[in-house]
Amino acid sequence: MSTSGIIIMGILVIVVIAIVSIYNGIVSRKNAVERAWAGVISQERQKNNVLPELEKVVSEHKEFEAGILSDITRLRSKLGELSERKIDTQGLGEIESLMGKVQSGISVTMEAYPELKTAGLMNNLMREISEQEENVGAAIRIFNQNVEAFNEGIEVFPNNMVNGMLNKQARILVFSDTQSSEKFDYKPNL
Amino acid sequence: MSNKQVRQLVETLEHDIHSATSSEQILAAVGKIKAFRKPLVYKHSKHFLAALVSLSIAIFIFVGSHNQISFLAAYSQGNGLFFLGIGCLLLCAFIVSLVLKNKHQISKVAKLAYQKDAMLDNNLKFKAPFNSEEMRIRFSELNRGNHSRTFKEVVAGEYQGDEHQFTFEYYHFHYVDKRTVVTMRGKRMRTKTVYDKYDRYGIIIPFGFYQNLQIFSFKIGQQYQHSLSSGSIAFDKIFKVKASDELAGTKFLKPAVVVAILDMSAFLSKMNIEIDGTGLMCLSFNDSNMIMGNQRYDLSNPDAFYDELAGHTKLRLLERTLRFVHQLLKHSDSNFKETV
Repeated sequence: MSTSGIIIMGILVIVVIAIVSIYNGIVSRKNAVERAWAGVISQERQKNNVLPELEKVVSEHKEFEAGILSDITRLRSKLGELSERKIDTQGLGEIESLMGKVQSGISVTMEAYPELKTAGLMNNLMREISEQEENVGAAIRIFNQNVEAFNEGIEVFPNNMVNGMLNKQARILVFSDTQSSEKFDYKPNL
Repeated sequence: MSNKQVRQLVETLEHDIHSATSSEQILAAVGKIKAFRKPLVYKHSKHFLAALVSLSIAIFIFVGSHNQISFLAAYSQGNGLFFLGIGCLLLCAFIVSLVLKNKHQISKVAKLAYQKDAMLDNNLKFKAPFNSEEMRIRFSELNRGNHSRTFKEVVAGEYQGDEHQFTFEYYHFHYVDKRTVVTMRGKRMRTKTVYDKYDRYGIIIPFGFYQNLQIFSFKIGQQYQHSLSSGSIAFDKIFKVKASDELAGTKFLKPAVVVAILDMSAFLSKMNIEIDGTGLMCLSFNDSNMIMGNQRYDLSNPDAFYDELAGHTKLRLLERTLRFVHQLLKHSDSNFKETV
């Protein structure tokens, strides 16, 4: 084989290796996004361990508003709708918003009736809920970071070419807290 | 204030600070300097003049004699002027080193006062160094250095968080790697022994909730068979996780823990976390400034330095690190141990 033939072969091998590595990179980042989403769902489902106890305590104490009980029931049904297979950031947003409502309702009642704080179970439940919410928040952050890495991985050159020809993956939406962002007038010009 | 008085004051201050057992005693010692209403500095104008004169003489001799005779010839002939020039140069170097030494002495004693005050403000106490052999067996992190390993400093303290209270020991670990380097000089092969010196810092905490786990960004000997992934691309880029029990390791790596470790790694360089078989945690890093604080003034401005010492010295990096440990504890315990 002539020298130019060897050079062309070498370039072809390098191009093929690059394409394979970009293709695999996109696949592994997609898997990481799916795994992170499953992490969010699994953290959300942890709420199922606490909600029955919370429901019991709220129904036992008439100091709590009736609306809290119905919110807890809605929350449980919404949690059942979440799927690990389908990335549904809107459904997640609804659950987070409902959870925030339940938490703030309970906190307001506990502030008005300090004797409720002395109930050990209530305190432990609130602590557990707060830690669970922290974990959900962290899982969402990990999900969003992975989504960013994935989106960047399909949009930069030459990855966009490989994705367009082989992977054919679309951008994934990051999760944004609509309830919080509604409080701002500022909207980024994206 | 004469230089003699300054020297005496500095020596007294150093003695007072060494023997101080409370922040008030340190303040009282620095208060004596403040009472002079002058910066505590040596007067070096005469020294600088003497150094300048001797340097000028040396230059004059060397430049002047260079025109007539070469240095080597002057040296071999035992030329008196040559030795006078050398003497002047040595005198100049001696005076400059004396000035630097005096300056260093004052900044050293101010640093000592600040550090001791910071330790007292934060209830930190020096304690006997760890047994390096015992620690080497406990933690791969401390199994470094093929020549020697020592603990230069161990400081004990306590942390009171919302949910957990714990004791901790901060350490400064020094280790030396010995290696042989082969070089060629012409056709001759020469071997030379080189000693590479390194320092690592860390905190030992009785963790208790998990055992046999390693999370590391700076290479250590891997003791456990299971490699774990956190699910975070950013975390997995920086850290490797090894555990003896896959399930326990996965339980430990809750999202809030992963995010907390990732955030902490922005403040601690080459951070490693290791939990041994007894539940003792070693959080190690490269940063040497954890218990140093941020000293802004010294004895060149006694009033400001006194005020700085009078306030509570915050060791922000230490506080942040302990808050992080508390976060790990909080997410590892059970909230229903007694009730449910």
